[in-house]
Amino acid sequence: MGREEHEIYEYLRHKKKFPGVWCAGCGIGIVLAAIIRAVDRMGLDKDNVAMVSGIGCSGRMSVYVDFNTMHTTHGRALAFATGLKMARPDMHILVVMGDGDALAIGGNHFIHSARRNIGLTAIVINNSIYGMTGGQYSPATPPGVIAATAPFGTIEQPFSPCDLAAAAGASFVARSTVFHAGELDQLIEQGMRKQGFALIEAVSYCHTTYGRMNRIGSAVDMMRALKENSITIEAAAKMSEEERRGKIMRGVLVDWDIPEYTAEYEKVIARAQSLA
Amino acid sequence: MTVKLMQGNAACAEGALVAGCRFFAGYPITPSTEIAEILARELPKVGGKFIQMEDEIASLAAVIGASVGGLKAMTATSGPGFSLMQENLGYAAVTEIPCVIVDVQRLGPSTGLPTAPSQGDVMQARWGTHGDHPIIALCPSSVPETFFLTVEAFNFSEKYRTPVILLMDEVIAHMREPFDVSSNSMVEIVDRMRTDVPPEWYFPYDETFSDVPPLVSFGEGFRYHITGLLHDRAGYPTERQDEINPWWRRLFAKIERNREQIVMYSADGVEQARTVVIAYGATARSAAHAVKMARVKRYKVGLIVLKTIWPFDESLVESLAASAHRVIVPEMNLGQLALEVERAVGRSKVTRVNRVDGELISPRQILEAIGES
Amino acid sequence: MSVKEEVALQQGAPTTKEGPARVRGQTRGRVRVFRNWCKGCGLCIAFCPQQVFSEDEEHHSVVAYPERCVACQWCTMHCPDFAIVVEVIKSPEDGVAK
Repeated sequence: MGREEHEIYEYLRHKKKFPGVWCAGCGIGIVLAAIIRAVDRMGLDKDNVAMVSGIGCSGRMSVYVDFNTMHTTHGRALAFATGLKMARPDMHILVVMGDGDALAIGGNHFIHSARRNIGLTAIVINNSIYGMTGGQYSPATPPGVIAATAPFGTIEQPFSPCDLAAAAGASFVARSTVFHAGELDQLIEQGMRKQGFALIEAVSYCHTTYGRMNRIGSAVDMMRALKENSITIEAAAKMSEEERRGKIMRGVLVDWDIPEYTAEYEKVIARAQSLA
Repeated sequence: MTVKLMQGNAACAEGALVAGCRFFAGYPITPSTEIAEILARELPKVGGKFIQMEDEIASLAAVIGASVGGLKAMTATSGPGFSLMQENLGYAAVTEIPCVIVDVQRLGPSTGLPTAPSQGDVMQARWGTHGDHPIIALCPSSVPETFFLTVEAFNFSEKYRTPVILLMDEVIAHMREPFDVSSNSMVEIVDRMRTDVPPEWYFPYDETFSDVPPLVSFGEGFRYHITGLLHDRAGYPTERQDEINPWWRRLFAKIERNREQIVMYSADGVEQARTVVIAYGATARSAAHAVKMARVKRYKVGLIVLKTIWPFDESLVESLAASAHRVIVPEMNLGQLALEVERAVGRSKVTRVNRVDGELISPRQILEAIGES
Repeated sequence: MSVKEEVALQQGAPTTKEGPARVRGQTRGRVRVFRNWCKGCGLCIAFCPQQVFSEDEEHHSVVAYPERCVACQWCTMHCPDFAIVVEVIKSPEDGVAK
């Protein structure tokens, strides 16, 4: 940290119009800055970094950053990224998605990318709503919330992308919030260094839709709530069930060494060529 | 001469490998599965990559991603899977990323008759995805032709920066025919045009030099943006009419202006013919036989076999059928290409011969139509 | 204590043993806000631990108390529009920034 903050500007596309398209106070820009800090710290060659994004406010990130970028169809970013990774296993590929994109329409690809443990760094920016389309509820929206398609309150239980990725076989799963931006960039770096599928859930908020419809407050209020309602996994271990309930758990949830997909496929090629 | 008894699907896989395909992503579906199985075995032998994705949507997405990463890439499916692929097909058309999609047609709609042939996806190949877009679709009517048209499909996709559909049908896919493979490696292979400007000057959708902008793969030092949003020449999203309208013109011009090279067909005995039969795919084989039988009976009948279904060249068909009083269009659907032919030569001139019960249209059926004309 | 410092104290500015705006021996920062990129979300104003920021008539952030900045970088890491840079400057022994 420190002087390196100026490096942010070396990673933004100079030909793009700034400030970005997001609402004032949105956490997505914070995640972009965290990603850039991680990449910068790793000293990666920009030509060897790709960002594949989905559709939604989170998906708009890729146009702003000076990597090889691809803004794909709704829910399918991981599938596009899988093909790119197969063609270029040496590339560092970040896949940026929102909660609706990754878990609803993209749920199937999310599960199978984790199952294959393919070397992608998936960043799900979870604001528990479909922001861009006006605040419809998503698979991450808790029950009892007013949403554009739940005017009388949601009745569905959400699920956790981290639990899903872990169950499906991802080799690295971590969570932080946009309040804890320093922690977030460290987790992103850890994920990128991991051989295998890494999921980092970046918990954020949408004050424009979710916040307004549920009278929660401004971006400042919702940011403060992230600070107050989250705890680290280590701290949680020492707490009672009561104290833990409803809190966002931050930290590394899964970190194990399992074979990465493209590396395993190289062995297939070797085997096929030896038998040919 | 090395003659092999080869299955249509195998010829397709062979054509892909010879054309330089080094990535396949697909999902099992009858009657296309053999293509996936053969490539699962053959691709790694040549250092290529195969992956079975979780569904057809992911399959085409992975193909597009691999193409962006620099590999010639293909997927193969049938009707239900082709329906699923439509959104990403539009994405490939708008982002102008080369890829080949093989649709081995079976009788639909829905689950239909999975092991029966049909030609029911002709219009879907043209208009399946939302919005206006040009498309190239090729249709073989024999096993050797499947090989050559697969190679052409890759060549067209690279040359024109477009997805190309190979419309096969279950009969061509599963039949076996003798095929002389000795000259396979001598076919012309076209690779994507690279750029010759420094990275800061590269525009992925530039119309300055040609209708087809040079395509650079990711990781080669040109960092650019690809998006399904309508975009300017740099690839960035735009809403400006003065950028969008020229883009539309170029997108269509790159196919339309090259019709001469893209539209492939054979025409036999059409000059001064009283009746002309226009056929494609497996039906073209029955049509050829019917025309032969008709000529024995002294009918002046010509035969046009379309190898390129899309783009459909109205003026070509109109001029080829100029002398005919009747144009017969046999197809294993309820009249899809017939709509195009009717548009070209006039509805009153066209007789449709249709069959959608899972059986091939027989030469006799076509001969009867010729006799009645 | 100057008038400005008294006012700041009344407004709840953080104090040290030496009083507000004088932080001996601590890292200091030179803060700049790119006003054209600032959307006025208020995050920096609300969360700066040293209350360096205030807002102008159009609700955009301005650096009100630059001398208080300790270069914690909260603002640079949390500005969603990359509108803030903080250059680290070391304070010499007498606690006054150059």
